[in-house]
Amino acid sequence: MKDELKYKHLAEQAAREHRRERKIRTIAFLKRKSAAAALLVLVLITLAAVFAPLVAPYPDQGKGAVNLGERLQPLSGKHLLGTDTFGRDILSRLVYGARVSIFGGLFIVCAAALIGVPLGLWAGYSEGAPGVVISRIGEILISFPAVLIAIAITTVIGAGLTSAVIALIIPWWPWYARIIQGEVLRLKRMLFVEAAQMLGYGKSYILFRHLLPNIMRTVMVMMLLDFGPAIISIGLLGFLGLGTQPPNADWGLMVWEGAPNLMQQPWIAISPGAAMFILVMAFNIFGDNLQDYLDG
Amino acid sequence: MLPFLIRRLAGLVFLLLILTMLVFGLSRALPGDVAAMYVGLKAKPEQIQKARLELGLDKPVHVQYLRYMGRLLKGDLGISLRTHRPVARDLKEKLPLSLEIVLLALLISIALGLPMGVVAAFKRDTWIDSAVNMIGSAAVSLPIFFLALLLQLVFFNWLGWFPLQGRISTMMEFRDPLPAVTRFGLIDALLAGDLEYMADMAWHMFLPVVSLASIPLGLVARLSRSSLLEVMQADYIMAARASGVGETVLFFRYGLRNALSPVLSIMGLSMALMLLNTFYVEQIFNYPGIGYWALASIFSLDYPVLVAITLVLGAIYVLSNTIIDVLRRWVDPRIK
Repeated sequence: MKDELKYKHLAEQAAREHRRERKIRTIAFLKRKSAAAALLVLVLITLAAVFAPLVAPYPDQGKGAVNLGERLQPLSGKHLLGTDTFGRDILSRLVYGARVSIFGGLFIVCAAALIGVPLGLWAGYSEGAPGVVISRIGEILISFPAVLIAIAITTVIGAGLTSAVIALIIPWWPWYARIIQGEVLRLKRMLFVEAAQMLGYGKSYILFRHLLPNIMRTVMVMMLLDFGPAIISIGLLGFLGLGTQPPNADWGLMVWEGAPNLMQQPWIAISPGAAMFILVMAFNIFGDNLQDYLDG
Repeated sequence: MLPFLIRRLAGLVFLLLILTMLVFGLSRALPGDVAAMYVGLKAKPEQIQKARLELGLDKPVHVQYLRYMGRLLKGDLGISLRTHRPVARDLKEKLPLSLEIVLLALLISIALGLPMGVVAAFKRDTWIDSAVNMIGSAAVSLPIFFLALLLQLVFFNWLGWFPLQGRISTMMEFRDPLPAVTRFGLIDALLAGDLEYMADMAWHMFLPVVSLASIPLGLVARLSRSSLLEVMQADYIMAARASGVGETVLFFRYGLRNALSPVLSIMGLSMALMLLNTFYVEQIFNYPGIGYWALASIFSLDYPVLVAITLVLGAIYVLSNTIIDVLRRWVDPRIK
């Protein structure tokens, strides 16, 4: 009885120390200027995207209403980032376009992980045929240009953000499957997995209760670092007219719309391009810092 | 080594086979009448019917596929629906143009990115390290089309240092064409001793190559830094340090070689990425390579061309990965 109390006390003390250490590390992480700045940018852009109707100076123009009286206006107090060929306020369109980038990117990364991680777990754990089949299918999908997949999907269900997102998920999930497969191959030779096998636990129990928690960190970091490329990829398809359709706003599409006026009214193409660059850079810096923090 | 190569080549053939089936199947399953596209908008129904027979579209899909494969083995990739030119001939002309800028970009990204990463790792936690980190992050965060337009704006419109677009000056185009020895413009010009031609071409290639090189440069710089830092923590480095090996020797003799393997592994991916990015760069710079051709074919649904380009890109991706695996085995004998 006394021993039990003593152990309980010790355990509580250890847990307290662990929590305190984690708190110190979290503070140290946020004290890194680059990480804090990146996080601030991410939060601001996400808030702007969520509350677009409240944030945008001209919400109707953000959604695509034309305003031909004020075509091609340079930066001014009335239009902070100028107007485009249809007279629409660029800042408003940037705010609405942020929705496509943030939510589209989030959806791609989550869907790719949701498909890739279970398949990778299965492929890694059961070696033999499933592993080979999954990695071969992945290899084929990876070597298939997303632009062509987007064309195929577009001709079937029409052009739009949905087609673009589906087209990107198809060659994206194999990366997750591949990395997770490698991780599982490494982990399953470790003692705790062998112990679980000897205790007679079922395959799916070992996969999801023993292996998954150990690879969650890898998956989280990978998802965070994939956010930037996902946003760029949506922009790339939008630029080709294979994503969001006008008059809706999408940063890639906005760059394409502004490209013919590049030499005379550079702000039309440069603003959305710069917005994309800043958002992606913020994700990359934050992701790098988080990875350092988790490793260190 | 040999069994490994044979296995990889068999894998390549298998992958290409699946790719042909997929792309071919897709091109037949998607809406749009190939025969109608072939003869054009104003064709009469009889003409479309005639084209259908001519292209063999009246046969079942698997027969069409086998016919296509039969011709493919003879190097015949069909005829473009848009230009009615043989696809294989266009491919032979356009692929080297793109490969030239892609390979140059790869070269630049290694030549600059590797030293950047090495110096950053050597001078860890100094301002040099953070500068390299910043440049690396920025390079991978730039959307390719944005970078290309930005370069045009700054270096053509504002500074006037580089041409806006094209592969060669208009005046040069009226000269006798260079003998196509390697089909790489710069090398052919050098072989022909035409330095003026070569300089003009390099001048035109500069901005497209810089646009393409940005992402791999960032990847190489970041990866070589992090992989060096990881290697320098290894036990054998500590053992060498304990036995009195100097830091510089330790770093360059013992660390660098072992840090190269992950850097090499990113090169295959970079090749694939850059080939896809030629779609954008060549469009923006009006550069007549495979990317420009691909985009034009995409929007006119020119299936024979799209099938051919997918095959070529897939083959290049797998081939470059194979070459890199061989190199990695050579650099790092631990891989087996």
